[in-house]
Amino acid sequence: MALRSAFAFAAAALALALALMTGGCASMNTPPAELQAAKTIGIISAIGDDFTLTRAGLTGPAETERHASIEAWGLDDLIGARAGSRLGQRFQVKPVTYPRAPFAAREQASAFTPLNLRSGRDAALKELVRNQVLPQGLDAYVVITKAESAYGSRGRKAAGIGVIENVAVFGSTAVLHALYTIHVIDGHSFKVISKRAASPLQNAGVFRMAGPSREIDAELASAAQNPAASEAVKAAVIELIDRSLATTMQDVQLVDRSGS
Amino acid sequence: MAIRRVSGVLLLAVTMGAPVTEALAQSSSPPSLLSPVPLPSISGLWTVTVGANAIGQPAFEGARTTAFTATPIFSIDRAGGSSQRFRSQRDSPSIALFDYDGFSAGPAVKLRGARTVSGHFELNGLGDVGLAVEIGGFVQYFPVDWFRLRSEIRRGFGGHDGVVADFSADVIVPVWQRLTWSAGPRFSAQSTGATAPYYGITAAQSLASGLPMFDAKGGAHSVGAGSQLRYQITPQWETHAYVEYDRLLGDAAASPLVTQRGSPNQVSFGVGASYAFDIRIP
Repeated sequence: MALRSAFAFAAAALALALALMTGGCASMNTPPAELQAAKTIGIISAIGDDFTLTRAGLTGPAETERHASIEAWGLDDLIGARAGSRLGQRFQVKPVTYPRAPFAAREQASAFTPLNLRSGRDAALKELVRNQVLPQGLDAYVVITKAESAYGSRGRKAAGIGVIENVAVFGSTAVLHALYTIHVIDGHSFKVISKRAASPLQNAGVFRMAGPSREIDAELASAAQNPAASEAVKAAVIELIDRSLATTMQDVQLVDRSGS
Repeated sequence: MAIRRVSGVLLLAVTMGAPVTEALAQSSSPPSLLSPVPLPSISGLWTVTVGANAIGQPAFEGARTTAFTATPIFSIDRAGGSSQRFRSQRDSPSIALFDYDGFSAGPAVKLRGARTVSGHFELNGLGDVGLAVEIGGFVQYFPVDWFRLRSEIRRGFGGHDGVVADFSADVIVPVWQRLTWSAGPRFSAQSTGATAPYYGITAAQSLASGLPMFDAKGGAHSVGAGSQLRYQITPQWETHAYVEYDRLLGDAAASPLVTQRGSPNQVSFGVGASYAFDIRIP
């Protein structure tokens, strides 16, 4: 009897969840009024300065994140161009200037996890857009910044672009990630109109992160130890962004499902 | 386990209020400490996991017989990210309110099933013990990715009103890419209030059961070990198996219920499989 009840409860929970999801979908397809009225838009990208190298699994206690500069890739310019070409069908995309470092800074999460529900990042980005971006007065600003994802048994956090090596007894695997969030900020009121972290990709492999990622072979993982010198690593990162950018822009309702 | 799995549904139901709170969050003024906490939007990619566990465990606390049952696996989580996090079969459903550099802590809740005489001749005359809800907290620490220390302290309500303290350590070994093995020692201590309802025998129960009276006191309750295997067959299919062994100690082991009709050796085991699929919410 208890067994039947448990399975019945699980089935009811699944049905309820699917019903809530379906119901939720219907009410969320309309873009916010600020976006419907927007004509001019600026794009700020700040994820392409740093490549992180981390390890999980059978690692030592002193294991720390390593960083390598990939500014030479010009990734943010490329992301701006790719996003601009998609948004150009609907908006007038205006060039903007901005200091990349403050936008690229990684959000410092509080050790008291409930405080992280109250995103200080939104407020910081609004102020940066208000004070650091030129020209002012565009209808909206699209801000692309680093997102985080947990990895490994203890749930450590990786951010932005990098590789995580999972060390096992028999062999290791490596996961390349390009984790980013898109904020759309009203250019007049500086409200966050919408925001979304890019979702994981289909066929990402066994170790899926909470954003664009995929398992890479040993050759690419080796090349990633010196990423700035590797065109193959750069191409793999660009592929992750290309595969996810359109969907993420749909998610923040910058483009509709038809891609325009 | 089952409770932890279905908690995703409750989380989802709660976050359905997101449009309202998002609107609040979009106020141009910076958030004050008194403003409502903005809940995350439910939009995006979610992973639904469904499956089942087949479980064998002592028919009641101190029993020498094994009862078999099945439990559903059901969860809804944001896609990616949390699937690699280590969880032991012993872990109570919990929320980490503090999480820093491998150390985390927060509230924990566990259900301790009711003991019913029906179907167990060993319990004749001892009476039922109701379902107990144990509420407390946990602390755990990962000095490295492959080793975890965890402790829970919970107070019972309902079937018992004592205090339970569980301690465990686990070595987590990624054997190869898809197979993870973990194992480690366990220790549990209980107060008299948590021990007596299950192992004590009152005068009335003694008369009715034929067992001698026994005044069960608290203290060290059990020591043992546990191990589990997880195998990720594909990104969608996962299987797991576990075994947990406890040797009862102190008055739990000395209770006539255990010495005459049960066993101090308590073994639980289970196998399960689950299937995960994604749902995108616009």
